Amino acid sequence: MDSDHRFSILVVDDSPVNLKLLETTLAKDGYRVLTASDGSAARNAALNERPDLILLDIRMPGEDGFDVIKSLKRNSGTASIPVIFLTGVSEIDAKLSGFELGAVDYITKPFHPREVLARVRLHLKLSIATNSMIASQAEKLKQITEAQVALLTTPDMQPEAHFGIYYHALHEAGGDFYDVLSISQGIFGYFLADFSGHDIKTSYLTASVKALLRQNTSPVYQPFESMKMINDVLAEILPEGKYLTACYARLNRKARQMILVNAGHPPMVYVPRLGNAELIEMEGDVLGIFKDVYFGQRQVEVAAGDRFFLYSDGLVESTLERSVWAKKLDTVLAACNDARQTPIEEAPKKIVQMLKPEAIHAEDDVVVLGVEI
Amino acid sequence: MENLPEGGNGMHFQEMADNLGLELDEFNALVALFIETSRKDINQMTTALEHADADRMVELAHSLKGSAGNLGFVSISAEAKQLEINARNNNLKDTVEQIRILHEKLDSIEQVLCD
Repeated sequence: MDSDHRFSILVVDDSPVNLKLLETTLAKDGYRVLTASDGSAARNAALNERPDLILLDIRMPGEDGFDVIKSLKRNSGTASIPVIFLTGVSEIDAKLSGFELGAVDYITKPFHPREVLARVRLHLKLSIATNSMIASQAEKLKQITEAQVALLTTPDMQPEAHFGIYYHALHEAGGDFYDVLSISQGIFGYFLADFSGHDIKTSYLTASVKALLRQNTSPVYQPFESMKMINDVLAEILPEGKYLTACYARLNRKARQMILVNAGHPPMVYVPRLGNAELIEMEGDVLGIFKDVYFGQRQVEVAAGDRFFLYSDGLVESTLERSVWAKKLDTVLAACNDARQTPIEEAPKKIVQMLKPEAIHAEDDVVVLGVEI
Repeated sequence: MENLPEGGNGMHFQEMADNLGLELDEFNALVALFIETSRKDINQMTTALEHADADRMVELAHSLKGSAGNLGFVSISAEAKQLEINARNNNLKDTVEQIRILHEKLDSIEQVLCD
């Protein structure tokens, strides 16, 4: 909401009549209304004014609604503004694509003003609810002062999650963090994070991250939405300048779907059962510093026997050689390929041995989390 | 009820405004805008016809169908829909008459507005 406590809505439609109808309707209901009649004006308005909601016509000449929403979602400044599509009834496929591109709802034309108002209210309520949930989570976590031991899960604790782990922490106080979530029947979340600097790896922070994962990874949220909410809480509670890089993978075994999100972390490795290991390269902001963030998300159709590997940058970094992790990724791929025959519970350890024979003398925490579908 | 603005098709602007949850003056402003933009669009249809540009016709007809439908001008919306279908089928010959009809319907709305 802006300073005069009204919600602001950006309406994008190339038809002047539709634009004016929506503007009149929304203004009567007490909203501050911004209008744009093409993609370029829409992007500028969204970025400069940060409306609370966007109504977006799909069918426009030049850049259509799909082009516009894609660019909105790619820009961290506008990515979290809820978008409702305006679409003609005949455009059935459009509705489905709209959701895939991140729209929260659609309204079919001819639209009835009362329906528009109802949908707008609903989604603004959802927005308010999410924001206050983040605020209250941050409040609660600020109150954690006692050192709490964050229990790191092991494969035998969650055998149905089919994972293996190699974990080596440099300091007694604790190393980098990973977690495996049993979200629902056949739905699992796999999370791995590197903390910036060793001084913030106190157990209360890892306990906080563990709690945040549990609170924000319900399947109603897209994985990147979960990361966004976790980011927003961390931005409140992390000390100045401290951050996490992380990757998160959510598996839906029944739907044979793996969704991967990257928050400034080295790329995850995908080892198809029948194919070569490959890197899932995506951009993403780090967690815990910015309010406006973008996380790359990728969806992969998977089959039984496929594997994924998440790892901390300690795996590829070697300050002895002063090498940067980006150059070491080929060796990681090769190691993951070579470890195919090793059972998943042992595979992470095997990979570490192949890459860092001197693992005991590593200068950083090394964590490798392997998942088998 | 006397002195209600009424169009040739039995349109009651007050009723149409009520349907949209608008005041009469708000609705009238929208109608004025509709007449202005639709005239332009229908004239552009004629130009498109001269250039045998069926795609442009489809675009214009679709847009007119939409805005007319949103305001409640069902008759214009239906005519525009038929025109769109013709243009999609590359049947530009039949659109000549339809364009004339659209101009007429727009005239009668303008009449009501000016009363």
